[in-house]
Amino acid sequence: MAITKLNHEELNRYQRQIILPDFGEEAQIKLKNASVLVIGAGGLASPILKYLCSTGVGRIGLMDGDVVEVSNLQRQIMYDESDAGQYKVEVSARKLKEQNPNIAVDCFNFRLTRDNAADLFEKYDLIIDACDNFETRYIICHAAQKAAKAWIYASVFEYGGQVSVFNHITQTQYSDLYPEAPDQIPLTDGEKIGVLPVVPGLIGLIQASEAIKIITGIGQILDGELLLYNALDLSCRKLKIGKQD
Amino acid sequence: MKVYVNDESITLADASTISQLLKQLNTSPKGIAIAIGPNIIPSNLWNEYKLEADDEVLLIRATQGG
Repeated sequence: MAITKLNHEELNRYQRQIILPDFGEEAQIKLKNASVLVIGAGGLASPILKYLCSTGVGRIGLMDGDVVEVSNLQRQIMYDESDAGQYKVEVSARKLKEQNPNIAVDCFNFRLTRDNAADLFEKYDLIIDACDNFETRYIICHAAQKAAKAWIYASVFEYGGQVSVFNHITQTQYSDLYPEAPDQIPLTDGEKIGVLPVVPGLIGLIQASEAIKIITGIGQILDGELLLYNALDLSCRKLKIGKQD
Repeated sequence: MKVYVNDESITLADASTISQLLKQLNTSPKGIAIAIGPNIIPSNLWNEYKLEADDEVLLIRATQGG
C-alpha cells in the first residue's frame, strides 16, 4: 500500500533535499514508495546503492552471485578488507540497513538468468544495470521490454564509461545501440579489465541521479541518448541514439 | 574524400557508406555504434548511409565492465 506521509525522523533526515526547488515532501514520498533492482554489486553498484539508500528509495533489491575479493576493493567502495569472502549482497545489505534503517533491502545472491528475470523484474519499478558482462545486459534488455520497465544502463572500460536510460519514454533499447555483442571479447572476466577506480564511481553516481529523477519526475532523463565520459581529457558527450526499424 | 574517425583523418572514396568505411578500417560491425556528428546511426542503415567529406565519425565500442 502506498505511503502518503513522512514521519518526523524522515522529515529531519531528508530535509536538505525536501527543501530543494520542485522537490518537496511529494518527491520524498515518491522515493519512499519506489522499488529499484540493482543488478551487480561491484564498482558501479557501490555508489548507486549508497546514494539510493541515503536518498530514501523505499525498497532496494541487490543481485550478485559473487563474494568480496581483495582485488575488488580499489573500486568497489562498499566493501572493506574484513568483508573478503562474504557474499557482496549480504555485506551490502548489512551496510545499507545501518546507513538508513527506513529502507527495505532484498538480497539475491545469484546471477540474473533468462529464467529468473521475469519474476524478479515484476517486483520492482525500475531496474539498474550495474553488471559486468554482455550476456546479462542482453537478458536485462529483453526482460525489461517484456516487463515494461525502464532500465538505466552503464558500463565502464579503462578510463571511460557510457550511460543511457532504455525502454523509457522513447522506448529506445540497448539493442538499438548495440544489436549484437562484439565477436571477440578479449577478456570476459570483469576482474581483468583495467579500470581507473573513480570511473565506475562517477558513472554509478550518474545512474543513481537518473534513478532519482525518474522516480520523482524531476528534470530531463537521459532517454534516447548515450552519454560518453572520458576521464583522460575530462570530456563528456551526449549523442542521440537512432532506433533500428 | 576525407572524413575524421575518432579525430583521425581517413581518406576514402567519395559517397562511401558506413559499411564501406568499416570494411576499409577492417573493423567488425558487431559490438560497435557509429555516430556522425551528434547522431548515432542505427546499424540497419549502415549499408545505405553515405558519408560526406569532413564528416566527424565516432566509433564507439560496447564495453561490459561494471
